[in-house]
Amino acid sequence: MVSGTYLPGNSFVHKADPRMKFSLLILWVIALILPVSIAALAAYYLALVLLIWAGLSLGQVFQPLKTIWPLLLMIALLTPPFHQSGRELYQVGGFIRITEGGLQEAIILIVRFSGITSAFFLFFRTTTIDDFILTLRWFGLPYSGALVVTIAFRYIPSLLQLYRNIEDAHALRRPVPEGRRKFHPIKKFSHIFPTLVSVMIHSIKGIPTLSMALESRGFGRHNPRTSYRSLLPLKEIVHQAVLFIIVLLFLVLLLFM
Amino acid sequence: MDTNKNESFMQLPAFRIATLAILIAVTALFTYVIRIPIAPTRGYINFGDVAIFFTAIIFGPITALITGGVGTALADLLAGYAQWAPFTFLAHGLQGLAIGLVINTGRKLHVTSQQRNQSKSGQEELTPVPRKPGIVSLLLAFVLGTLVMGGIYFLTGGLMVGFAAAATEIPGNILQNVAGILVGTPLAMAVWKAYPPIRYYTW
Repeated sequence: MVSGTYLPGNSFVHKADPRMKFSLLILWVIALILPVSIAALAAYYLALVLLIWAGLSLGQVFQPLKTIWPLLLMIALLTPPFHQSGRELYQVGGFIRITEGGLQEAIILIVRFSGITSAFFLFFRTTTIDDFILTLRWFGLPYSGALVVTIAFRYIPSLLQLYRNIEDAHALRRPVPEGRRKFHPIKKFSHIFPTLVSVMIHSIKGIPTLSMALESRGFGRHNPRTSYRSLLPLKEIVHQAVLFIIVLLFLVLLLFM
Repeated sequence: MDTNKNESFMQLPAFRIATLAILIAVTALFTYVIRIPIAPTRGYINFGDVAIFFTAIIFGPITALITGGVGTALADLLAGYAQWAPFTFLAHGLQGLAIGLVINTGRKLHVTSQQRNQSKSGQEELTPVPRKPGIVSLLLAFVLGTLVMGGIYFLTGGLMVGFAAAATEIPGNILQNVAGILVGTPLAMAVWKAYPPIRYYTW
């Protein structure tokens, strides 16, 4: 759970420096949001598809689309009726007009959202959470901020286990339902509330212990800290910087298509 | 040392770090894991807003801003919806801040009116500030929280998927906030009552 959506691998995308990948992710998302032509958007998306294919596998190309298809369907259905520019292509029931402009807008939004989703998917599929936090540190996130996020990640599985245990304990105290279970949201709410109270109290009770642990490890002192994990020095990734500039030029070039 | 009631201990940076980390983990858990089906057709609401209301009521606006934003964004990362994480951070963080600010303002107004009444009747000592927010504060917090969260999601969603598709998310966002206020407020009161040391956990 803590690994997020990371998929271990040995591809060049996995090996690429996370700072480069993160910068490219931001630039790619900006490029996809800018009002560019459908051809440029399609080229951005196609480049991402090729990167996912090369870095992961062909099957992984469709993975991000699986999670967003209901929204893509919604865009396809709802966008054309609200954009009435251009030649009329089709009319539904005499009042909903599908025009060329509406269809074009729907295609732009679908490619844009698929592209943004795929860009984030590729980044987090090939970058560990540790490297992501180190990247954020390199970009200026304070040490205490990175520490908070790291500790939070460390606590999520423990809290999940705690939640499951308390949930089971509360379920054991309830009578076993006879026959087929009926869908009943209010009953579900009333069952979950005591579990939430217990989970919250147990979690908050852990705060003093965690603070004592941080204190005893010298948190809050001003002397320099060493770190177990670190990113490569920039001079060791010059070849990646060259590649980064080429990709950047590709993104800029497409803007003027 | 009884760390539960030692006020200087609560002011340590380590204590703040620990509080934020645990509340972020709780918010991520409530968002990612605890989901209640509301329709037989796989429609569900998550409890992220419950954690945000809880934090805003007990710990105040700044803590709610950080834990609401980071906790829900982490849940998005873990669930594979990373493309929404920056917007979630903004929407839920500002939602927590808005809720906390309204509730704190309500409490301050309550204290001021109490002081006025006590000075009229000649009483010296102040009665403690109640942690339970008033109905008006809660309703205002709910309205403002919904507007902030729903508004940010609508604007950023409109940019990514178009305003027509983004508008379909509005009822879900309102429902999330309804669950937040309906479950988050009693949860805060129940924890406040069942675990008294929590009243020393604010800064």
